[in-house]
Amino acid sequence: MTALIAKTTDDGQRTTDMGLLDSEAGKRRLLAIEIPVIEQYNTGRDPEYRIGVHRAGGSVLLRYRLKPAHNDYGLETRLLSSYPTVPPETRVVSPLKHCPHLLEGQTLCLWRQGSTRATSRWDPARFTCIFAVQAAWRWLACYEIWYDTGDWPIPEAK
Amino acid sequence: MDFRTLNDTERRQLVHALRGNADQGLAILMDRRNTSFVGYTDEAPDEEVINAIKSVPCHY
Repeated sequence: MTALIAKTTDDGQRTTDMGLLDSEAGKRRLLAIEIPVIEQYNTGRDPEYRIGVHRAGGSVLLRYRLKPAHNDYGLETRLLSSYPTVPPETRVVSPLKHCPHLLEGQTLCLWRQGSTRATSRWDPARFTCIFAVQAAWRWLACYEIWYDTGDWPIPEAK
Repeated sequence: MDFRTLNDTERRQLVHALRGNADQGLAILMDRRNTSFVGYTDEAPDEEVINAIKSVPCHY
């Protein structure tokens, strides 16, 4: 796994928090589930659109690009120490116009764990980090429509 | 970033795919090489599941 995860930090800060890579369960999850699906995702993908895996303090950071239509976006998905119980956090690095479902720091509003609808909740037993990438793709596709029309194309979940 | 907008046909197809994905479980297909939108389908083959956005849970 150390060969797959770049030994870099994104901000140079040190942390004393237990990270995903500091627990046996976290390492198992990465080795058995997350890294294989990332490798599968990267297979046949142009280099600039592959997912890069980085260590960032106590988190694992995925850096990648998505291009749902004509525009190309840089993104980061962070797997926190409490992942997969807590859903991954995804932010768009490329500048966006302020729009619906966009939180501070250009973090995407993807999951709502308190929702009564299963479709709004992250399920750690069923989903991998690739689901977060796919959810971000769909969000960006909605953004492209909203940018043109002013309307978010799919109804908001409750 | 210079934003390049969709033309009418592209926008219609993408909206149809997004709504079909949300309402009827259509799978949206991503290009294997550069992740661009290539269409949608009722049933994605197993080997393409990594490039098929289907039943992705989302709050928005």
